[in-house]
Amino acid sequence: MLVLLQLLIALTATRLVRGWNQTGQKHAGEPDIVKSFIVTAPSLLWTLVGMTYLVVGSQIHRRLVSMPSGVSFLVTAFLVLSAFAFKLAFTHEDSPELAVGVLEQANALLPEISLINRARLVFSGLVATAIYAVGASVGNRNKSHQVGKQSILPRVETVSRLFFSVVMVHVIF
Amino acid sequence: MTQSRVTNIPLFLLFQCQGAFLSSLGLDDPATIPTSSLLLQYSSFFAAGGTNAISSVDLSSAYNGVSGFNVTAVGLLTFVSNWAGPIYWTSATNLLLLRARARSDATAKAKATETGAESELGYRTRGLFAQHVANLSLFATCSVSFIMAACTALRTHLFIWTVFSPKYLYCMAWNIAQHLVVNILLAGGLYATAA
Repeated sequence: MLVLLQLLIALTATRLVRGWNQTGQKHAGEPDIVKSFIVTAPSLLWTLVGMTYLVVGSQIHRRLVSMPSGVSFLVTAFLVLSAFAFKLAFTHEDSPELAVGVLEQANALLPEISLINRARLVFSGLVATAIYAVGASVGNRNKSHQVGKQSILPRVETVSRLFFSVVMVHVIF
Repeated sequence: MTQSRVTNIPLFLLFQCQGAFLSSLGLDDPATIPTSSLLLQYSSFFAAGGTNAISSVDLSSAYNGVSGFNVTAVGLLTFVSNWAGPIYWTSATNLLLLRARARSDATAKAKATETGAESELGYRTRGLFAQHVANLSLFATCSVSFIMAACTALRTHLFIWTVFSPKYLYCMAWNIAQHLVVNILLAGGLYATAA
């Protein structure tokens, strides 16, 4: 039952992905989802963008198991907020018609850092967390090879750590 | 997502839906994961606005954080921003492979416990990533060899490079950058360092 639901969601998602941007020479300029629904309703766009950042942020937080929960929450919040702030400022500069209403005020509330420095902040945060994650994963792997016998309990942990070093790549772009 | 256009960010939500479904299937046969990976990489590239024409290379995020003339940084950022979808799917595939390996380890361990041949060391299934890379490389090799054959056979044609240069450039980007660097080096490194 759950698999059927997931299948339907995945198929719907695939159809939406295929119709998202209209590309190719033959149908260039024809309506697609972005032109028809997203650009015409910036509030929908920013809701979706916010949801995406929240989902990605929750995934990172869930998998940052090698530090206490509070610290990982702060790190994740910093990453997500800095990335979102950069996106907001960039859209404000690049295509102001997309950053209207509530977002203008949100942009004004955030500290006045130049675009370049915002981007560098995001990148350095991501790189630092990624290096930490890979290091923690390698360290954990070395440790678990030595204590091979008790491989039941740490297995749950190691499974999470397996994934963590990889999930970071998700956000890097 | 930092490198993608704002209007393309919700695509990553949709990719999550697709990835969650794939993950719930519990795939572990050596042909399904690479095939799905390839299909999803290409579809996400085109869904985010990429085409086979050079004119659709998106340079809006190429200068994020770069204040002067910097060929390497700009080149890297351009690649990451245009190949954001394929890079996402490379790491999603990595997660699938890691889960398959964990399941296979658990099966091996259960079998060993049954037969009483419990060993002190953990179980580690080998060769999963190598099979995955072999399948991906098969696709890459076939497509590159046909392109090379076509370019060689038509090398004296008057319009050869007018027509073929976008194809050749995209072929280089897909196979050297995406396949060799991202799919093999980066993904392999992350797969190897995962506990």
